[in-house]
Order: sequence, then structure tokens, then C-alpha cells
Amino acid sequence: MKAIRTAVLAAAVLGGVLAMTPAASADPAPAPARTDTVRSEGVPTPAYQEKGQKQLTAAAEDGNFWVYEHPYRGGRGCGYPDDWSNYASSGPCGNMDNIASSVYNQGYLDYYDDVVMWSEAYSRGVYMCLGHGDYWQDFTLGRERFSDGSLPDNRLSSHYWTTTCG
Amino acid sequence: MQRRSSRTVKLNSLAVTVLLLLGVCAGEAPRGRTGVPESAVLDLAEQLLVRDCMKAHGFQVWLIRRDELPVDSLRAFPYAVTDLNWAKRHGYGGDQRAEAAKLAAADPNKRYFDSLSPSDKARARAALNGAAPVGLEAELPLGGTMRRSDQGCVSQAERRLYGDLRGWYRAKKVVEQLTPLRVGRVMKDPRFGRSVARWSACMRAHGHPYADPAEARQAALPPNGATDRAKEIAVATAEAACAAESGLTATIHRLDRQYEREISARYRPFLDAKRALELAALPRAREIAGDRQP
Repeated sequence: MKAIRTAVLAAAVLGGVLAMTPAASADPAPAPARTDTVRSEGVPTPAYQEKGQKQLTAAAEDGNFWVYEHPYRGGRGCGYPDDWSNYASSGPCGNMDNIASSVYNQGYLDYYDDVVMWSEAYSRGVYMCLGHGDYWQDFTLGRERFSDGSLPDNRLSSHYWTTTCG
Repeated sequence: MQRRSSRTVKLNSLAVTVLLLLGVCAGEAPRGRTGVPESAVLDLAEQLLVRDCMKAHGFQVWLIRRDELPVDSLRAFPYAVTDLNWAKRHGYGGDQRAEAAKLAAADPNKRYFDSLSPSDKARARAALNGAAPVGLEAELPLGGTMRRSDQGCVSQAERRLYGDLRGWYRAKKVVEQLTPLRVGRVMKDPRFGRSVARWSACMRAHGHPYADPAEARQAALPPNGATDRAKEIAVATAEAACAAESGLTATIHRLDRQYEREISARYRPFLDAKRALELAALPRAREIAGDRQP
């Protein structure tokens, strides 16, 4: 019974608090950051959405899931803002299939800010999961493992964003 | 590097000790996450703390609810779709993935972050995640070391909530990896392989010649993004029916329970430590959430 009451109370508190938006909150408006455009609900529109194209960024570690050719974020790197179902497919980063030796989840706050990585394209094979802000710095040492215990070095082929690794 | 206050350390240590002495942690361990209300309150409190911290750095954060998001079918059914009713409604979850993609694209935090200039993105990322992934480490059950920054708003929020940031990170990361550890062991078990062979024979007899559930899933969810909803549901429904008929469902449940028991026993100290830290953090989380009610 206590658990039920606690759950109801928590749900009520949660529902009330989560109903807040920055516009509805009594908190003062935060210092504005630079934005390109702002939609009516106050959330800016990403530039790439306006251009109607998916964007991969290799210039800076800026909120994406990063895959690197060498340990310690070395060599070629590719930052993926979205799910990527086949690293062999062409794109601004070129073919990244089966070359990763270090990975870094630089995601921003998001519904989906953890990353599930797969040994084969299209979320097949075996997997491993990297949480928000987490980093595997050197697969070449042979210590990190996929879910079946096999080694991930030079074997990543796809990933998708998920809510939690747990 | 920030240092915990001695008062926080003492209170947290005391809370953990009391909980252990009372045997709170000796009961059934939570599976993956704590109960929904507890985890939701902790998640909300962390979001509020992060929001305040980011605001102090000049950035906006919107509160989000993860408990109402579509089901990730690969997480819900890591071995095979075994729920016939779910398969009839969702197939392999193609509809759920599409909904998730829509939500992700509309996510206010993502849209806000995407709109920032490159220099502001870099500042926001560093404010949130810390400048570099150093300071926190966790040796994982499957092997290797996961690292994260002990700086930034996420770490600051977790430090405020849980007190022992290093202990929290270590316990959380170890417990998170118990799921892939269990899934991997189930799928490597010869009994699972034999059940899959029987399942495959059943599927072939029903006109779906696939060697394993992963192959069936890929055939029903074409990688080019094209969707054939009728085919997806037909194959997934056959998969669930054959899983029941061939004994694969029963094998999955049996092996899953067996390996969960074994793995939980082996990693009991980490499960207990995570649970104790969560229970100790709950009063703080409720206080933080309560203060922000409209």
C-alpha cells in the first residue's frame, strides 16, 4: 500500500513538474544563446532541417556519436547525429565500416542519448552500448567486448540511439 | 576537480550503512532500473539540476519524459519476438521506430542544440559533459574500461544527488552491462541454438525460410527504409507463433532466468551499491522535484 501511495504521489509530482515548459515555468528566462531561426513554440529550427538534408560532421566534436579510426580519438573520425544503419554506405565521412578503434558519445540531452553499436549493418550481429558522455578509448588492447564476448576492434558496422543502456 | 563536502559524504555513507544493516539491499534486486516512480523521480531531479546548471552557463534545457516513449523492440525482445499480441499490433516495431524518429526530430533539446553556432555547440557540450572524458572510470563485466568526465553539469547533478559520484558511476555502468552480458550468454548457450533450429523449421513450414530471428527481422524490415507493413506483421506473427510452438519461448524464459540468477549473484555488490545509492538519493530527489512544482 505504501508503495502504491508513493507511486501515486510521485506520479502526481512528476506530472505537475513535467508539465512545465520554459514558457510556462516561473523561472526567469535563461540567457539567450545565438540561434539561427526560432519556431513559434520557442524551439529553434536546426539549420540542416531547413535544408532538408541529413548532416554528418567531421569538423568538431559537437553533440554526436563519434567513431574513430585509431585509439584515443585518433585518425579519421566521424560524428553521427542520427542513427546510421550501414557504415559502409557513402556519406561525408566516407566508408567507416569495420575501422573503429575508439568511440565517444558526445550526445546532447535528448530523448535518445545512449548508443547501441552493432557488429553488422542494420542492427544485426552482436552489440555493445555506450552511455551519454561515455568513452571507450582503445579497442586495440583487446579488453572491451561485444555482448557475446568477442572483440569490437575494427568491427563496428552500424548504430542507433536509444533511451538507456540499462 | 570538485570535492564532495564532508557532510555529504558522511550522510551518504550513513544512509548506505543503515540500508545495508536493515537488509534493504538483501531482497530481490531491481531488474535493470528501479521501480518506475523511483527512477522517474531520480531522473526528474537530475534533469532539474542539469537544467539549472546549464542555465548558469547560458544555455536552455527542456525537461523530457522518457517513460512514455515508444518501445525499442530490440530491447524488449532481444532474442525473438515472443509476444503474439504485440507482434500482431506492431510487427517488429517498425511503427515504433518511426514514431521514435519523429519524436527525436522534434525533441526540443536536440532542436535547440542543433540551432547553436559551432562555437556555442562546443561550449554547451563542454558545459554539459565536461571538456574531456577523464575523471570517472568503470571496469566492466564484459571487459574493458568505460570512461567519462567528472566535470560538467551531468556530473555535478549526479554528485549532488548521489554524493559518491565515482561509486555511482562505477555501479551504474557495471549494472547497465549486465543486460548485454545476459543476452550474450543466452544466445551462446547450445540449448538456445537447438531451439532456434526447431523454430527455423517451423518458420520454413509456414513459408518463411529464415535461419534465425535476426534474419527474419531483416527480411521484414528492409534496410532501404521501405516498409511493407503487412509483410512485417505477417513474419513477426509467424515468428511469435513458431517461438511458442517450437519451444523457443520456453527456452528463452528458462535461460534468461538462469543467467540472470547467476549474473546477479556474481555482481551482487554492484547491484546493492547502486540500489543503496538510489535509495539514499530519493529524499533529495523528492525535495528537488518538490521545490520546482508550479
